[in-house]
Amino acid sequence: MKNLTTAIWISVSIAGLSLASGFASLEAWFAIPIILIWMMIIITGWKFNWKWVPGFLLLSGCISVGYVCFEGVNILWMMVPVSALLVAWDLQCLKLKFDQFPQIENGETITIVHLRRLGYFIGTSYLLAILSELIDIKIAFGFTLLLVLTAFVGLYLIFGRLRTAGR
Amino acid sequence: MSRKLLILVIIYGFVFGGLFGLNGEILILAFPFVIYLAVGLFESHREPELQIERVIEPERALPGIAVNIRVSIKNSGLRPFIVGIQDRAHEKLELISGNSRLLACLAPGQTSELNYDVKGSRGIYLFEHLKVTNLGNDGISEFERSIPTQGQMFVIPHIPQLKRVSIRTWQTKVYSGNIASRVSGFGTDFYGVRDYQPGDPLRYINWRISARYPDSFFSNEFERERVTDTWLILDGRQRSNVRSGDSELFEHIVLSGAGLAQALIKEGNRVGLLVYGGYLRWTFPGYGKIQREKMLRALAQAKPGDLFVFSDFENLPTRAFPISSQLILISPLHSDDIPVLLKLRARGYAILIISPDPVLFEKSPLSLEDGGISGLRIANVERQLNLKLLQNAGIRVINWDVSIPFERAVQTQLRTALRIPQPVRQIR
Repeated sequence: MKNLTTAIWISVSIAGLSLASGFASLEAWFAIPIILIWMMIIITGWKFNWKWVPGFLLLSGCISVGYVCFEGVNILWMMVPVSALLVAWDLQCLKLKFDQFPQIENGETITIVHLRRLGYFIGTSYLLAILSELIDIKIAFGFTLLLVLTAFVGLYLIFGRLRTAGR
Repeated sequence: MSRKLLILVIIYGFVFGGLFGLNGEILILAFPFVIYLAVGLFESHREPELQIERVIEPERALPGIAVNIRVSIKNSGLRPFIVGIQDRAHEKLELISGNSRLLACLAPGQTSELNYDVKGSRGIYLFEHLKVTNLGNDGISEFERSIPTQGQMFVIPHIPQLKRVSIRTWQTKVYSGNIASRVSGFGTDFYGVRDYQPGDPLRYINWRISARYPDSFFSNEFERERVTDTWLILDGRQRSNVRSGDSELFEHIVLSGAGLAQALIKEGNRVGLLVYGGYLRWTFPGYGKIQREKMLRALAQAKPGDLFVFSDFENLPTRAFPISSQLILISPLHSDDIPVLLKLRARGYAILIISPDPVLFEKSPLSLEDGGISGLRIANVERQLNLKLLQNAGIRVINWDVSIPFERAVQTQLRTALRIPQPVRQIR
């Protein structure tokens, strides 16, 4: 459990630092208050065990990253806070799950398995991101992604409902 | 906001952001989330293959005694699973030690075990399901399943130890027992004297009478002792279940039933049980330890009910009771029960009523200052009159103040069997 908390804090710190550097590359004075407020909310929330903190962290982090990218910061650099936030969020969800169970067997293994899986996801994402940069991603690709994603979500919801109705 | 929804919001945020801002690079930021979601959804369709085995020791316990429950879960699949296991023990069971919930990472072939102790009040507890939460290897593929399992636990009522229950019936069975059968034969109680017959043991010769008649001998006869059919009828009507604070009168009815069942079976009688209330729950008559176990299990499950059909004893299924058998009714009794019981007596049944006193049971928390005493007196007088009516008809009634332990309260009265008068025909 202690290792899990450490891993979460490391991820949050990486996310905060990389996001701060992203802001700093635009305008330094702009970065400081935003990051400070952001960190303050997170620390307070964690201290009082607010459930929505990881979600808030992820959502606000992604919005900030999106803003920074629009202003011209390199996308590969901005993948760092996004990935770190995803890791922190996932581990926080796991920690909440740990808290629900009074007895945990192989807790370390569970954490390691989670981290390994997240590592694979992030590695794959980076690979795709580099490939996309190489082949100069176009807006048409975005439309395709949107269509595929919407179709997938739609089908999943329909079949999910049908399966539930079948039971 | 659920996890899937949050991830979807972020993905759509990046995609729309990229499209509206005509910035293709923003789309790339959605990659980690798309992969995370896709793998999660794919994984969520993988059912964990688990072998579950539950051991409950002992399966039958007394109230308040710890029962150990062990559940072993084996991953018989080929993939590792992170599973949260929650044994759905009954709410009424109190966890004494150990944990009934476990989070474990199960490698293929690996086994985990839940080990905990519980205690509970009288009842039957079925362990039909085990709640398994598959946490997957990420947060998205989490799902819950109820896996059917086997296991049951009986908490039987405390059994008061009665030394002897003396009953007398008009008809007995053929097997030897403790009940005087009004027929001469082998026994211990003197029955009469008859002419000596060759083969009679010398110690049976009544020398005193034989001395009066020099030409003949006389032998003593003894009353045969046999077993009999006995039906225990428990009043499970909701209106008889008087409550006083947290305790219920029905619990005392069940407790006395357990004591009587044990004592009667121990004496070799054929005993049956009927719980009369919300339903008719039969335990058909039988002998021996197996029957005792059946009855105790039936008593463990007994619950009061309030079905209109069984609101009085009018619908007591008398055809099931052999004529002239012994009926033992355990009931606090109501005024409208009296005529039905008189009818039963008129049919020839030997009836013994153990009546837990509902007036005294309710008395303690009652405020006796504001007219409570008068009410108590009236209720007592009414009850005494009802009991007298029954006794006059040849029904044996034992009034039991439940504040006194059952064995102490009734043992003296149960030890001596009263001679049963001829059935009183009902006067119309």
